[in-house]
Amino acid sequence: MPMKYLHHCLFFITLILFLVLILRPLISPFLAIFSYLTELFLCLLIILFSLRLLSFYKQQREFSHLNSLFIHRLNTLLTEIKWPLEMLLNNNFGTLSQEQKEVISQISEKNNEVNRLITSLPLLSSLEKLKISDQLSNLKEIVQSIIDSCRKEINKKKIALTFVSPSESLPPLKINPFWLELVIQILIDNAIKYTPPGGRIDILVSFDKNKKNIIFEIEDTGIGIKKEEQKKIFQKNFRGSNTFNFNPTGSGTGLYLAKKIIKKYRGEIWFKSEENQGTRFFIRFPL
Amino acid sequence: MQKKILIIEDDSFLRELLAKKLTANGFKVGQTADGQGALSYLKEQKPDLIILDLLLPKIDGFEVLSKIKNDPQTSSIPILILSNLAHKEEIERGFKLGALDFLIKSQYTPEEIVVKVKEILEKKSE
Repeated sequence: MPMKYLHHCLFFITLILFLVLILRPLISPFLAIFSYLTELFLCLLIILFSLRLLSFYKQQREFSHLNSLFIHRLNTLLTEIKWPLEMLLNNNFGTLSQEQKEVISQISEKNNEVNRLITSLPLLSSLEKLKISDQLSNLKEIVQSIIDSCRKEINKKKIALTFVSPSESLPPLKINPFWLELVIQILIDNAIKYTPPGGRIDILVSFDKNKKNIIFEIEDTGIGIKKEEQKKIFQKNFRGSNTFNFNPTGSGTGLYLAKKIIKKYRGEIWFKSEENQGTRFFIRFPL
Repeated sequence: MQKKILIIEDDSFLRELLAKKLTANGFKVGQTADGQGALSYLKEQKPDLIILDLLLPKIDGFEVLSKIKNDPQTSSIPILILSNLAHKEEIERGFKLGALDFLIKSQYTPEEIVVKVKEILEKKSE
């Protein structure tokens, strides 16, 4: 923090001196005597300021290097917990009693949750640095590829899934494909997770030429979101009270992250839901 | 015939867990903790599959991978990378150098790794 403070001070002093330098012709009679000293001082300050800036960026770089080492070590430790737990559960170290198995599988679930949180950490911090329109994405292709990758899960739960989109090609979205994929993945994953076997999921992509919008909709016949909880659904770490039976280990980051990304790109995300009937999510992407 | 698998992994705890799991599934397992050890092992024996970590002491995983793939004696052995390095560049580099698959350690259990190993060996024998 003091580093940052010094930074700002130096910046402002340099700025003021620059202004003085530029305006000097106008006020020269008053400053003539100080002119030489001012310039000297100014040069010194600029040098100091650049040096400060350089060391600041160097520190930043070192920090991000340390950060990735730290995350790597953390991942290794998590693996060292995950593997023996799983092998204990599979009776690789002798047969366990039912009670022992239950306790170990609970520890294992918790460990998986920590694992998921760690995975989302670098994602969340790089989200702050998101830039608009650095790359283009094709929404139709992305939706199709995510559906294909979830096919196994969909078939396993005997869910009927439809995907309807305009036959003509759509204008590309000014979103980094990585983030768009993540958002779509979160919504499709949720629909699959919270729809009981034998249900339906309908996905619709449409193009509003007049308003210059592309709309993505996904409707499921899942467990829905309770009326009183609908306000909280995009909050960090919030999980619907009816979700625990369906997906005991979710972390409540998916929709929070999705909304954050969509907002960054000036889009909108909203939903309609009825408990035990289903949920319909909408995303509006501006062009 | 019993299939032979070489595990190259410097973390002895993880290495021995995986070796135990593979042995329990009927595989013959060779172990080594670094790249140097792997290369001298390969001079003596020819495993059916190699499980390779990337962060290794002395010679790192990428170098081991390219050495194995550039040696006609060993180039046909399928290599499965098993690492917690999971940046896009590392994954791409692994595939480019000839790895068959890239598993992120913390995302896989030993059970799932055994399934993957069996899949690869079945495909190979077809």
